[in-house]
Amino acid sequence: MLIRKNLDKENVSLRETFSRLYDEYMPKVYRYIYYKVHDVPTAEDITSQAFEKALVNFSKYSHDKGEFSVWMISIARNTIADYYRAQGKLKTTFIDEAIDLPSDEPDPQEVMEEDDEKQTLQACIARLPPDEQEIVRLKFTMEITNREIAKTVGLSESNVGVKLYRIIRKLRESFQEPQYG
Amino acid sequence: MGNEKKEAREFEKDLDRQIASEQVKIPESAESDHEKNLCLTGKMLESKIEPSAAFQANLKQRLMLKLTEQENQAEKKKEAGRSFRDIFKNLGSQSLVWRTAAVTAAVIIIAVLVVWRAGVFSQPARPPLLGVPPPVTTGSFQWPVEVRATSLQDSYKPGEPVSVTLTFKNTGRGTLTLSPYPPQILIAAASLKPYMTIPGGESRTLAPGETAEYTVSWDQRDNEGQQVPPGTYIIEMLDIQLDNGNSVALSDSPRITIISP
Repeated sequence: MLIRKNLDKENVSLRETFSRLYDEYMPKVYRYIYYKVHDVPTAEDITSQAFEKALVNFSKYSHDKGEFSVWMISIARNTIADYYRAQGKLKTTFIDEAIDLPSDEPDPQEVMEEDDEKQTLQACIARLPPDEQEIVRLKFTMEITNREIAKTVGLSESNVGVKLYRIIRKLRESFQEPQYG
Repeated sequence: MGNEKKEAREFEKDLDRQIASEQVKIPESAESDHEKNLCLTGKMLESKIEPSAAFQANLKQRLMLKLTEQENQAEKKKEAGRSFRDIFKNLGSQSLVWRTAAVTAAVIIIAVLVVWRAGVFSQPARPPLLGVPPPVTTGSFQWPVEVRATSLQDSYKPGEPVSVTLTFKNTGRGTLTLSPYPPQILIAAASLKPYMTIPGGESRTLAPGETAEYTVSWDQRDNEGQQVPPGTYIIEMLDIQLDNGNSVALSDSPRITIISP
């Protein structure tokens, strides 16, 4: 995660720095976006736009002013918001169809019966309140530290740690529920 | 609570090791809370999706091409700068009259720039309002427009109007046109589920140093006119396009909390 800092020290070219950051963060950003839009072509489209924005503004980015992951997340979030705006112009109801709505999600038990463990896990996550979903997504898609999550969601680092711990316990219970309940 | 904090710290340490693909020993018959949690997070990490290799490679190729174009443009600008410097270098070999005239012109230009940078030609800065929390700014990344978003309060009672003020300051040296202005505002829950979309306007021109303010008042109702539930909400400003083709966004959006009644 300190790659940009290290690259700054190594005095590598802008091209090389961007290339290495792309290799490290692209799959993570893609995953973060995918779990927001639940559609491969849309996730690919938004990921492309997010990295294009990052490239245009990359010369202005400095590690001293913030982690690259936190910067990239803010770009991804803005790009997703732009996507919703565009969709809103076409069809406003699509927003609710595309995004996690706990009440509309299938029951984990139903999913378990017809699908595998992976989907059950995703269904359990989708039933969490939005702020808890965001912490889980940031941790498991962007694979960032609790300190970086704290900067993104505006909580203290220790608060994020305790919250994440509680969320995982809660997820474990709901994940086991359909199996053993 | 203290015990929970300690457990959370232990869990964080092991989870970060799992994420870094380091070996974390979990007995097959995981019994403790900690071990069971790590079993689940292990499954979560195993089940992550990956972008297709073709997409990954194509996008990289496209971005690298774009980077080449950017570098070529920067090189052209450098060349133009070099030609300008060459003119001054050549003056050195000219007569004393030419050299004196060039130095005088340079001193005048520098003096004008210093006076301009000191803000003599721009409007005086407004004093900060008492009781207003420090503004959330785009901070780290320097666009030619500084965008600040402030909310008078961090938390609101249900039904209480939420007021957010966006301030745009042209910190560049040329006139800029922001479009759309006022910007489109999206009020979303932490998961980015949009609750309310406030459409944007047309455009606004900002002279160098000029500041524009736009205040949004939200009645805590969603797009269907229903009161939103208590929780944390993010105020997002959707990207504003500048006339030079760049876009400006809030990199850090203000959060407000609607407390339970």
